Amino acid sequence: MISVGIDVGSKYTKVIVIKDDKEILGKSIDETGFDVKAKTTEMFKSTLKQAGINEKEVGNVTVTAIRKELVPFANREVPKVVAIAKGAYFISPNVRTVIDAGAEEVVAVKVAEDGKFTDYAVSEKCAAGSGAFIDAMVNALGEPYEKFGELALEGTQDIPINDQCVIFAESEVVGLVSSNVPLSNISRAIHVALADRISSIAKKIGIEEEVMIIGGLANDVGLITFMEKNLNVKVNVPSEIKPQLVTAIGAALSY
Amino acid sequence: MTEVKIRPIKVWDEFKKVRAKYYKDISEAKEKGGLLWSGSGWSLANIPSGLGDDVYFLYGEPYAATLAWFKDYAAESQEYMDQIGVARDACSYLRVYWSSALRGTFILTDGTVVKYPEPNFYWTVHICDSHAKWYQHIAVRRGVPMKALDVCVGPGNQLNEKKIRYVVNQLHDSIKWMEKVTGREYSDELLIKRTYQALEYMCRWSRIVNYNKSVPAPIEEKSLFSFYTVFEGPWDKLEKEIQERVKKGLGALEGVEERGRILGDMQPPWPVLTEFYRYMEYKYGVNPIGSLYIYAIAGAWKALDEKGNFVWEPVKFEELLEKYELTNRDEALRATAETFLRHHGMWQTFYDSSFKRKAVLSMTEEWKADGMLLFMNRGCEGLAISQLDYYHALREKGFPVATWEGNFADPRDLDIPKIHHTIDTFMARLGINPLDSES
Amino acid sequence: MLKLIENLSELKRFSEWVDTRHDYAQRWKKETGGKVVGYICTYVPEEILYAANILPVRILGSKVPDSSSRVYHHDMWCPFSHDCLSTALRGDFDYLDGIVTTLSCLHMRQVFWLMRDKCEFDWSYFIPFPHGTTNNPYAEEYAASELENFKVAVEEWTGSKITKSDLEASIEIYNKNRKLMKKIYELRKGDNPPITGLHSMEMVLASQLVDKKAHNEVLESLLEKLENVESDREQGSRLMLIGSENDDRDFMRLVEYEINYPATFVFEEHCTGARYFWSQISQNNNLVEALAKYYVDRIPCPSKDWGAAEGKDERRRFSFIKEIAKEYRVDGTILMQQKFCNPHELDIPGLRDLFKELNIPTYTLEFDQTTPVGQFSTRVEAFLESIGEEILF
Repeated sequence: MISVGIDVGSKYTKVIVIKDDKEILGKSIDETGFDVKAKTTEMFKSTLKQAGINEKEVGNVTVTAIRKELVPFANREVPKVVAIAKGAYFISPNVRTVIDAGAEEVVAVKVAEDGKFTDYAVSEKCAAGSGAFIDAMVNALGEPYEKFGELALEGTQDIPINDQCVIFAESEVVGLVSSNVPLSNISRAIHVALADRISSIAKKIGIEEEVMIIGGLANDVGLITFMEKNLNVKVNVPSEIKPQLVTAIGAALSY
Repeated sequence: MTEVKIRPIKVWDEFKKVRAKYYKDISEAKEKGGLLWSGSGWSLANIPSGLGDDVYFLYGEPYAATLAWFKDYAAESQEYMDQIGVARDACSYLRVYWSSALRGTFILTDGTVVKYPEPNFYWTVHICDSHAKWYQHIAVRRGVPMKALDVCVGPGNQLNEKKIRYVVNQLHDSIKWMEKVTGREYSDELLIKRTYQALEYMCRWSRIVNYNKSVPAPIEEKSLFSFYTVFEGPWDKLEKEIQERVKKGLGALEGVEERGRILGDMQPPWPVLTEFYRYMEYKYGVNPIGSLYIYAIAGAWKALDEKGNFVWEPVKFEELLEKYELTNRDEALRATAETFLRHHGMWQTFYDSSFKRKAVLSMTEEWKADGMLLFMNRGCEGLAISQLDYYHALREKGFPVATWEGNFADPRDLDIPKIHHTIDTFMARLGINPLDSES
Repeated sequence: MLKLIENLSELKRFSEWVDTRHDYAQRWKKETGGKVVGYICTYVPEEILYAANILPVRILGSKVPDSSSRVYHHDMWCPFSHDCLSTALRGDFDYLDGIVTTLSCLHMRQVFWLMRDKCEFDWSYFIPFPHGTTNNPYAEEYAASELENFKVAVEEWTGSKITKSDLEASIEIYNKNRKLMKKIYELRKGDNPPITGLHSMEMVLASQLVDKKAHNEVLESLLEKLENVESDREQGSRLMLIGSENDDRDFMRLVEYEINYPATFVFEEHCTGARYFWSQISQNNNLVEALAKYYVDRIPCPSKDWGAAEGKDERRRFSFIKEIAKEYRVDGTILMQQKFCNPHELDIPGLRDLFKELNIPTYTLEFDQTTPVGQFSTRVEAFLESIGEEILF
C-alpha cells in the first residue's frame, strides 16, 4: 500500500511517500509559507511525481502537526508525538528516547519496545531551545547557518549566556561581538546554552538509550556534541535520511 | 456517530440563578444600606458576617474566575494591567481584579458591566505570596481600610495550641477592627450561626466530590464549578440527585459509557472551559472527574495524618458538631481556625512538597483515574507549588500524565489548537481513540 | 587616591570570600571541626546555629546558566531560585551538613524542598514563621515559640545543648557585625562616598558567607581606614538600589565603573543589602524572645510586608525607604527586580507611587541569571542622562 505522511511545521513542511510500510519512494522538504493548503497540495503532487506514483495509487494520507481540515485530501491526522515515535522506531527499533528539535518547538518522546510512545515533554512558550534561537543568533552574527555548528567545536572558552530567553541571549551575544570575543567561542556559548535547554526538556521524561535526535537542529554537529556532553550518552542522528523527515515517516505509518 | 451529552443536572439552573443574584446583590449592596467586604476566596466569611444580616462579600478569586470566562473583557482587563506596568507574570486573578477595581468596573454573570462596588473594607486570609498585597494595593489606592490574616502556621498535622492561638488572636483583633471601621456592633450569635454554616458547607463539599469516586462518576468537573462558590443554594437537592445517579450507576455523560477518567490538578482555564472540557468529553467520551483543585479547595478532609499521608476522607459535620459546642465568640473563632488549619486540603500543600505529592498519588487511586493532565498555569504560583514534584512522582509510578501550559485568567495565553493537540496526544497515550473513528 | 581605595586589602578580602565561598566553608569545617549549614532565607535565625558551633552560610546561585533545575522547578519561577537549585544539583553544596529555611517566599520554599530531596544532607529543618510581620502584635510570641522549637531541633541534631552564654556570645558577634556594616553604610551619606555599591554588596555578601567573627575583624579594619580616606572617584548621580534578593556584582560594576555616565550607588535596600543588618537584637533576659522580636521587627521582605488598617499604606519597608532616600540624598532609584518575583512585583506599583511623591526618578530593570550588558548599559545611561538633566535644571 502506498501511504503518504505530511508533517506541517511552522517553518518547513515535510512529505514522505512509503510503500508497504517499508520502502521510502519519495521525500521532500520545503518552506511552509502562509498558504498551508496550497503548499501541501503542491508538495503532495511533486513528491508523488518524484516517486513515480500516480495519485490514484495512494491508499492513505496522514497529516501531523496540523488539523486534517486544513489539508482537504488528507484521510486522517495523527498527533505529532505519535508520528515522532513511529518514525524514529522505523529508523531504529532500539530507540527509546527521541528528541525532535525543530524550528519553534522541542519535543522529547519516550518509546517502548513495541514502538508505542509512553511519555513525552514539550517546550512551551519560550523560543529558547528551538531552531528560532539559532536563527536569531545567526542573524545577530551575520554568519552562514551551515557552518555555525562546526564553528562551535573550534571554540575553546566557555562563556555563560542566557539559556531561557532568546531576546536576552541575543542582546548578550551582541555584547560579546562588540567585545571582540572570537566567533568560535560565541558559537560555542550559544550551542552550550541550546544543548542545555533541549536536554532539560528531555530529562523531564528521563533519558534511556538509544537516544535519537531528529528535526532540523539534528544537522547541527555543535549541538549534538554538547548534548552528548550534557546527557552523558551517545545521541544518534539518522544517517539514512534527513533527520527532518522522520516525523513525516511516522505520519505515513499511522493509519 | 456517537453523540455525547452532559447528563443534565436538574438543579443547575437554580444554582445559576443563586450565583447571578449573589453578584447582583454585591453590586447593589451598599446602595441598599448593606455592608460589603472583599478578600481572598479562602477568607473565613463567617467572621465578618457577625456584623449583620446584610453583609455581602466579594471573594476575589471567584470573581476573577467569573470575569475570566468573558474572553474579551478578560483580555481587555489584562491589557490594561500591561499598560499600567504591572508585571505580566503576577497572579493573573489579581491582575484582572485590580483592573476592575482601578477602572471602576464590575462584570456580572450575564456579562453586564456595572460600576465596581467599592467595599467598606478589605479583609483577607494570606497564604500565598499575593493575597494580602493584592487587597492592600487597592485599599491604599482607594483609601479603604484593609487587614490581612496570617494563617501560615504550618501543616494541620503539626498544630499545637500556640499556632491555633496565633490565628485566633488575630481573628479577635479583626473583629474589633471591623467594628471600628464599620461603626457596627458585632453579634456573636450571628457569628456562631454562620460558623456552623461554614463548617457544614466545607463538610458537604468534600462529600459531594467524594461521590465521584464511584464508577461511573456522577458529575463532571465543569459542572462542579457552577456549585462550589455558592454558599446558600439548593444543596440538599443537588446531593440527592447525585446520590440517585450513584445508586443507578448513571455517569456524568449520556450516550456513552465512561471511556476514561481524567483528573486535573489546578484551576481550570476559565476563558476556554467549554473548549477544554467538552472537547475531551464529546470527542473521546472520557469524563474529567475532577482535580486536586476542585476537591481540596473547599472541602474539609481528614487530610494529613501523623506520617504526612493525605487522607481523602471527608470530615463528617456530625463529628465537628460533637467536637465544637459553640457558646461564645472565642469558641467559634477557635473552631473556625482549627477546622481550616487542620482540614482545608489545599492549605496543607504550602508546607512540604511531600504532602502534595502524596495527596496527588492517593487521589489518582481513590478516584480510580486513568490519567492526569497537569496544567502549567502561569497565572497562579500558590497552586503551582510542587507541581513538577508530583509530575515526576506520577511518571515514576508509571501513571499516565502530561502537562500543558497556559494562563487561567488570560485568554491571550491560551492556545486552543495546542490544548486540543495535547488532549489528542494524551488520549493516544491512553489508547483511547476518538469516538467517530470507531463508528 | 582612587587606586588606594580599590586596593584596600579589606575590600579585596570581601571579594575573595565571595568568589571562594565554597572553599572557605570547607576549610572552616576542617579547621574547626564544626558543621556548616546552608540557609535559604534571611529570616533564619543564624544566631542559634552559630551558638551551636555551626557556620551558617547563605545559599546563593553561581550565575552559571544551567537548565538542570528546570526539570524539577517551574520555568517561570525566579532565576535566583533556579540558580540556587542548579548549583545544588551540580553538587557544589555537597559539603553542607544541613539546610534550613523558614517560611519564605514560595519559590525559595520550593528550592528548600528540592534541595532536601535531591541532595544528601544530613539534616534539614523548616521553621514556620509569621508571614505577616507588619502591625501584627501576635507575631513575636508565635515566632518565639517556633524559634524555641528550632533551637531544640538544633540541639538534638548536634547532640549538645546551646547554653545561654553560647547564645549571648553569638548574638553579640552578630550584633557587632550589623553595627559595623551599618556604620560603613553611613559613611556613604556624605558627598563622594568612600566606597561604591559594588564594594558594599561584596561586604554584605561576604558577611553571609563567612564566620562573622572574622568578618568583624575586617570590618573594623576597613572602618578605620575609610574614616581616614577620601574618594577621588567621580561620584556622579547618587543612586539607590532596591530589590528582592540581589547579588549581581556585574551589574554594579557596569553602572559604577563601565558606562559613560558617572554614578555611585549610595544605598542598597534588599536582603543582600541593608535589610540584612539594619537593626540590632535588643537586650532581653529571654534570648529566644529577643531573636523573635528582631526577626519580626526587622525591615521586612516584600513577601511579609502588608497592612492598611486605616486605608493608608502601612508597609514598613516603604517608610524605611522614604527615610533613607531623603537621608542619603538619592538622585535616582533603580528597582532591580528578579524576573518572576511576585512579592517584589507587587510592591513595585506602590514604590513607583512613593518615588513619584518624593520626586525621585525611578527605573525598573528585570533581572535574570546573566546580565545583558548591552541592553542594560543603554537603558541605564539613558536613565542617568535624564537624572543629570533634572539635577541641572
